[in-house]
Amino acid sequence: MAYAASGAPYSYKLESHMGKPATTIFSPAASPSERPDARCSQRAPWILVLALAMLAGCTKPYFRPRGPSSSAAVLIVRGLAQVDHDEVKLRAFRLPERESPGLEQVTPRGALQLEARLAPGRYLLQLDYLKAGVSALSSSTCPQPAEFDLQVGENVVTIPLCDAAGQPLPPTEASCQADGPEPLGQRVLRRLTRAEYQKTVESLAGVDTDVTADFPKEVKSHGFDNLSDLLVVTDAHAEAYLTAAGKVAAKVAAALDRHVTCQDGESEEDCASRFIRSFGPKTFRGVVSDDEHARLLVVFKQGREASATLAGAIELVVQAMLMSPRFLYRHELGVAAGDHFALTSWEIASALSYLYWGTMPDERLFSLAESGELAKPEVIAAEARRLFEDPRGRELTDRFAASWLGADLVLGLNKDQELYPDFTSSLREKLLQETKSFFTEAVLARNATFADLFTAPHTVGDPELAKHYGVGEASLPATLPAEQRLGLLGHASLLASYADANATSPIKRGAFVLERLFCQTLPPPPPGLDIKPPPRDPAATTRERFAAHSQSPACSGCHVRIDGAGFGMEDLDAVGRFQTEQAGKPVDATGRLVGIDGADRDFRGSAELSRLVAGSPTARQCLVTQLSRFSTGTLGAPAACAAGGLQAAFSAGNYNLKQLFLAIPTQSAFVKRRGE
Amino acid sequence: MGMRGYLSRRGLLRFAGMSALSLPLMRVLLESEAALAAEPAKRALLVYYPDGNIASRFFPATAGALPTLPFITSPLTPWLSNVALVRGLEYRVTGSHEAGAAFCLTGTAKADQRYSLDSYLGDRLGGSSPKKVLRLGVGSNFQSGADKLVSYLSSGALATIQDSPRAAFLEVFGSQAASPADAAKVAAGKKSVLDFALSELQSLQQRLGALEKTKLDEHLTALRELERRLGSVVGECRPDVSMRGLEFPEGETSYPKSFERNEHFGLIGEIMMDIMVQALACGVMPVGLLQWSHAVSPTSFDFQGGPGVAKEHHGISHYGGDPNGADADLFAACQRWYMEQVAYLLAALSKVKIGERTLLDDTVVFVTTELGDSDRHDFSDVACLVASGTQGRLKVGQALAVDKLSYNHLLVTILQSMGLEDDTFGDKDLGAGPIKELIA
Repeated sequence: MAYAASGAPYSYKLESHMGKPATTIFSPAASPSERPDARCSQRAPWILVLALAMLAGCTKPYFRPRGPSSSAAVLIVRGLAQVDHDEVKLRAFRLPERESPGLEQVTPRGALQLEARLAPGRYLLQLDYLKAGVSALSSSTCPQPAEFDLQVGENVVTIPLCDAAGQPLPPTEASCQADGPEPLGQRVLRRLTRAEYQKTVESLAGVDTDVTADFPKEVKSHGFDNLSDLLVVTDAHAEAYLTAAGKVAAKVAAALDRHVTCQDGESEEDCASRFIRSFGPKTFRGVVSDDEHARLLVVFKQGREASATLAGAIELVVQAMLMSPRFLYRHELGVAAGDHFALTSWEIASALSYLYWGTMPDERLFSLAESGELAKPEVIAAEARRLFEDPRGRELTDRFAASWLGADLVLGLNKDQELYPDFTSSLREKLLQETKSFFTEAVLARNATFADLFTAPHTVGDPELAKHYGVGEASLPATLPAEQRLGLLGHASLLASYADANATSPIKRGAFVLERLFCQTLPPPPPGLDIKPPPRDPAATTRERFAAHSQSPACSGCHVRIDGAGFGMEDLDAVGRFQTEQAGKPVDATGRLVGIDGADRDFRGSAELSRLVAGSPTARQCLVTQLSRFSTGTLGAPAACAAGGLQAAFSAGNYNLKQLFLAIPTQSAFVKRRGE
Repeated sequence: MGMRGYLSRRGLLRFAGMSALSLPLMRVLLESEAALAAEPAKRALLVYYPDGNIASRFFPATAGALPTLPFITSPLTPWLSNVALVRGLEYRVTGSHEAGAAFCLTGTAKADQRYSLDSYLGDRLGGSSPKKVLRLGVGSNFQSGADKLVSYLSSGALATIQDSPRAAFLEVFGSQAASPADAAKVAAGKKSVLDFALSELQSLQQRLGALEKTKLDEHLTALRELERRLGSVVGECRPDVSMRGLEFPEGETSYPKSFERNEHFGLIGEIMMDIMVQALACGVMPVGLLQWSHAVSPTSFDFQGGPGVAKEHHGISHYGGDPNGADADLFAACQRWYMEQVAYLLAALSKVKIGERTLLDDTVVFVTTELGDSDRHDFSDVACLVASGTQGRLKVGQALAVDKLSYNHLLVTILQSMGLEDDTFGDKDLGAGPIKELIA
């Protein structure tokens, strides 16, 4: 994590830190699945630092630069709430003497910013996050010294933070405008996903069959299928859209009375025109321009020449609307508003409804859009609550849980049928449902906090699931043995997905924990490294098979971290059942989380790992990062910008999950977009 | 229409039922009858199979003309004079299955430069065809396979591979035998819909300038291509594809879908091969891609018509080091089954008569996989092969041995055997020029 300090009236920026973001953590072609099973880290720490440094710009809403001051250099460190701590200590050592601190200032937990005034000059700054009296994170352990020339007035600098081992914190990849007044989102066209398309035509036209079955599948990255850079329209999409548009339009034409009734004496063209005025704004989720209206009437006339009926011509008009980019993309473009672009109230309506419901706005949202009311923050907040508390609100939590955790992978698993004959497709569907329902109920019904996700002793399901978990034929919800499993990390949907067909996989599980729960970025192994996985060996435990691999110097750098996390889940087998023996030997489920929250933590078994995750500030932050990725449909800067503010909201709400989900549209990045 | 039994069309067929015109000619037959010996092939059929192989049981023990084929490739023995195998080719890429899958048809490890052979050939050769490339899969998208597909468009985006026999048939041969007058009306309607969509896109792009330009450019290109295809025509053609008694309902939501059921893997494969060959025969497209399953394949080989190996394919691909051990035998049986399918394809192509010649004479078949040795997870001795007619530009009927030669040379060989003059393909640093011994 890094922080910027600022004041007025001059500003100074360290270009070496704030230059072009090297944080292209995501590229469309480099999906995480391309990473081999084994990997070793050779990533230069400064890249992570840079990524962190960029976050500084996201936190600006939480501080206010002081007015013009005298001859002092003003430092304001902001974004304090993003890391769990008891207190923050800032020290400044005057250079070149580097003697006793020219300044030492301590700020207790709860403060959002820290201010200091110094005589202008060159300083080595040291920022320490103290937890229980121990420095959990510090700028002093980072590879590069935090030396700065501080001038009269405002100083914008970035201070990297690293753990005791010199590892920078897992990044919240970011690059907000460091010098903007507040974090802004991105102007973007977000093509509807298959699921969104289907739900939209259901809402729009009462379609009751799946018209998207032949749409190309979304490419996933980090588990998410709604990343806007990957949502493009290829030949195959265009063809599939045309076919689907035909089906939807036929549905509309077949029940045309519902949409328009031609009046006596009214010309067909006038009737069609009225149809366009009523149906068009719903389909485009915005105003139909005069020009568009005229061109749609041309389509109508062309259709009327070829069709025997009025309905046939209207059908063609609907097809045309459905092929328009106004329908196919969620527009988040905004209109110029000074130094930024502000989403229109129509765009806000769509942003809200697709976020919470995965479909188009309802009548109420449309009418609030039309009246312009939706531009008001308090109306946005109220609508967010209405949508989320509606039964359809679970669309958000279901989808998020399935993609963030990758629980949906379970549907596609083929396990060794000799070893796991009960792992049927029926069970797999129930396992996915378990994870979705557990998460959704936690958020929407149980008023749960972050920690509850990982420490809940219960789950939801049916007798088949209960049998799988070895708690008899009783129907769930049931309390599961707490020494065996707790919360999400006990879900067989995940344990089976991150395992091999016939054995557990400490690599897959470790990578899952580090990437999905702690937002660490694991690079691929260096070129030329032998990454052959250990051979199958029925006489050896998984730990024995992988031991050599994490001892090899070439691999251990990274695999100490990956396998360390994964080995600790050895007490749950490749389909998520509790096991005490493997290959005739007692299971050794000791594991270690390396460098999480500034320390190494040993643990034994999945339940203990769950407790560690539950209490980890980094894991809490990571959830917010993941939610921001999901809600913005990006992996980079816009997600991190949104995350910056959400972190504070999450912390302020004592990590209540429902409040976090409700806070998404209240972030300024939700409605304000960058102007470039 | 019912999908049980036979799908067939009587009378004139128009691609996607859109054509306003009909050309009563046997397109393939006329154009091909004029072909002379050693003419470049006009069509390509690329076949991907998953999870690598066991080189010592795939390649003949000795190189030379008309070699004796070992266990895995033995089903190709009847086609010995039509096949060429090159042992010693390697991928210049690092990583595992997924990296190999992305490399095997693109010849590049650079993610932003992926443009696979099927797409490239389609773009070069398919200018006047109703379709440039037909991409069919057998469980290729099943179980997260979408991340492991092998085909990339010129934009670098993943191409779509159709796994549903029903959708594939309709995509290729159209959904209704409309009268010419009705077809003209439908076509005019579609054109007016697309014209509207194009005008909307253009005005949006004008408004946005550089913002989202790449996305909108790709969208525009896709619409124009669709418009072009709606206007193109397939001649008289009578596709007749047996659905093998299987039913593939529309709009399925169950899991797995009917066309993803493991027990029908072999039957679905046959249906897809039939559609592919008939589409080639009808001149629907110059290039076909058939993807069997996907890297890290979950297929269990106890399906109907399979070798009765009730094990997950990727699991047994790690055969434990001994290429002749019991585990290796199981995996070899699976890979041999894939070669039986190649033989099925070659037979089907050779049955389409074009005067004195056959469709096989006019087509280059290329079979490849994403790894070298399946157990070692390496990229050497990649078990790929090419096949064609004996009189074409590709010199078939032989086995070659090379020493750690870049696989890209084989990709260039395929291009040149089809009359293209490209000297490199994919990453140009990975080798220029064809494998000379393979070019007549």
